[in-house]
Amino acid sequence: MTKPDSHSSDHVYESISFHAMGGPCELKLYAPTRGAVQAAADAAIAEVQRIEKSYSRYRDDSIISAINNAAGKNFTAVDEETAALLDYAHAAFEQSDGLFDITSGVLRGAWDFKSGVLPSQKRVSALRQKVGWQKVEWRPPNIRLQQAGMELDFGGFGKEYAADAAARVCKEQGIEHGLVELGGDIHVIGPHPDGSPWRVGLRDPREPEKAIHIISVRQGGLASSGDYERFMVVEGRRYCHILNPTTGWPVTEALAAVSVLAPLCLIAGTGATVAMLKGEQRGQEWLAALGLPHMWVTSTGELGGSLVAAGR
Amino acid sequence: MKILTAILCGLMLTGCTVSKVEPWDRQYLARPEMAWDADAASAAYQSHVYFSKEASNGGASAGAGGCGCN
Amino acid sequence: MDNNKKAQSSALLALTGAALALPGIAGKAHAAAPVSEPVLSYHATRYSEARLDSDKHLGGDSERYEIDTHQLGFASAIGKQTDIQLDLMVESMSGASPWYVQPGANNEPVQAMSGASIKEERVDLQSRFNRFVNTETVASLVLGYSDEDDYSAANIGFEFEKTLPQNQLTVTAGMGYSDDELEPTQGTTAVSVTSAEKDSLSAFVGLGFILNARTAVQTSLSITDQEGFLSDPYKLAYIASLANPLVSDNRPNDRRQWVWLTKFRHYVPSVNAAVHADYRYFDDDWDIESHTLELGWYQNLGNTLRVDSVLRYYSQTAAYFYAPFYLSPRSDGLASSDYRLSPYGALSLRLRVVKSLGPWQLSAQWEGYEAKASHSLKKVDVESPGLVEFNTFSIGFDRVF
Repeated sequence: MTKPDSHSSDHVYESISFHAMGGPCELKLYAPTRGAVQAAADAAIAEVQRIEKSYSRYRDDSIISAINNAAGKNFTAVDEETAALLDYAHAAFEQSDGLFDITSGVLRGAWDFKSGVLPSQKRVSALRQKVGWQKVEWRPPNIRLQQAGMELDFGGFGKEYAADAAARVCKEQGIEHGLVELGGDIHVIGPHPDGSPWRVGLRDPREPEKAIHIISVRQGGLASSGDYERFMVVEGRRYCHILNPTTGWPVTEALAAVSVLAPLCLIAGTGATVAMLKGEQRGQEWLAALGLPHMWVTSTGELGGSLVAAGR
Repeated sequence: MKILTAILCGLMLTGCTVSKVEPWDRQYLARPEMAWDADAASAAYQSHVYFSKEASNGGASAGAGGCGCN
Repeated sequence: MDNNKKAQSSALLALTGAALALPGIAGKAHAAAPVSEPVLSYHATRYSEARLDSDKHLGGDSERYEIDTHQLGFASAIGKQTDIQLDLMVESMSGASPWYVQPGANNEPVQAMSGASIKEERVDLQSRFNRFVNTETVASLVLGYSDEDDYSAANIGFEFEKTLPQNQLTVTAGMGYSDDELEPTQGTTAVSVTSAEKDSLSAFVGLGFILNARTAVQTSLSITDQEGFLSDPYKLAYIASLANPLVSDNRPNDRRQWVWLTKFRHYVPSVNAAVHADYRYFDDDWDIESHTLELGWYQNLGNTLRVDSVLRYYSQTAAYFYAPFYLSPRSDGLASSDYRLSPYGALSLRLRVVKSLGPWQLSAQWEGYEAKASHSLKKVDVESPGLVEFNTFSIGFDRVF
């Protein structure tokens, strides 16, 4: 992230850092007064915390825990927001031909990327049985996971949704210039007060502290996915944290990194995640068909996508 | 009727400059003070008072009953 | 930056459609839906009319109306797709009202007021059922009944609203019918009839546009046909050439009204305020034409306080048969000196404070209204002596459960 280089005299600028959604978060906001920035930031952080609390699978009192604890047993009735999120997950599952699957979280039980040891195929296969959106009975507003041990996990889109929701809250508070960043997922509320865009660096998958490309964003969501976040190299081969729900194994021949720009961070995130899951060739095709501005990096370091072409 | 025509033409002109507003960019339009009847109870009372004190009434609603107001 | 001119892919459309249903994303601008939580509201209003100037009235009581109004409202969802709104209004009125106008010493019109104070009550219950067929379509049924000593009215209405989100357009249409019955009470003043009926049928169509993220406009056209006894049974007209100059108020038995109403809303984020501008054009076949302009400034002060200021201007022409008094009878036999059919203009100012406290919303409002011939858009030769000047003061609350 680059710091804003322009500063309008009738706007106060503040950058507010906090920790949520399992990572560092930042609000960069302009408002007429310091009080207005603070009020917007307080409301936005409260919204992020509300979503985190509602959908964390680590909290016993979350709706996700209630659904997961009833797996193989009874139906759980959900509220409207949860229902809309489940509908979204369903749409993403269908559009990605089953690759975007919010039940795939259980596979993490087999994969310890810090160990440097591959799990046994038997262990992976056993967990694979607990994966599959098609094994979920979603009859709004009631949901039931068919098998005991199945789990829903909103980790694949909760952070992006929270970024969009926090941006909406800021806008409701009158903020027109600023951005919300939750652990690398960004929703740009609007450009700097002088109209100049935010300059956002996209990570180099092989040197994640460096930017491989810098893009300009005036408004909308930007999300990235890559094989660099958690991975292990076993016998010269790279195994990343992006697990294919249909095999239970990390995606093979995947793109190294993908970034997508969309009106909403949620859609950008889904676009990027699915592109990673599809593998190098089909991932590029998916991005092109989606029609959103995007950038990809292959495992050999080749850059491509409409954002790269536009930036040059 | 001249005024009516002028305003209708004006509306059509602005109609041509309508800009796309995504549903997630409608937070201002959704504010309570932006509603067509910003305070329902007070609007109902007001229209009742004007109805009983002026010759004109009515507009975009399925209406209410009259009164014997003097 | 967005150089991709391709049509949106089906995947993108599917994801966008699903995302738009998320409350965190669309917020309250989210599609049409029943009220999320039950709301109970109560408002109390005191309406007081100013006394007539002593040079304008003759005999009777110059103390005009005072009305205490209590409004109780309740709204709640019934199931997933329906909500109901109930509004009860109870009014108790007392005071004298304009009776007839006669020529004074210099032929200036002088108002005679009804003798003793009238005391009466009016109860009005309106109900509204909204059926949210889908997120873009609402069908509504309105049922209402009002009753007072000498008057009762039953009304029914249907409304339909369809939002076309791609075009940022909302289409509304509706019809209403009201069946009114009068049974004038013989009191201190003689009445012209013992029972009478009137009914009104109205229809409207409207269009709402979102012009940009801060601006919206709604425009509608309504037509109302009234039929039956449209005269005022308690009022008299003065015809100088008659041996007995006081005759009953007598108006045509039908009336067709047209209303064109346009509302404009604009939000100013830099000061957290909303600008309202409403214009109404009214025209009927009694030759009454009126213009109403309301300009409002709704100022937020912080997140829980709002101050609204609304300036209203109104101007009407007279009904073709209206006169302050008549020298000789009209050939059509019509006669009315009701100040409400006279030519005049009116200015009013409303100030309102709304404070939110958790689930409570408290409000206080004041209005000052003054009708005068000199406020009229067109020059008025003779001002009706009965024009009103009033204040209202109201306090109330809304409570969300």
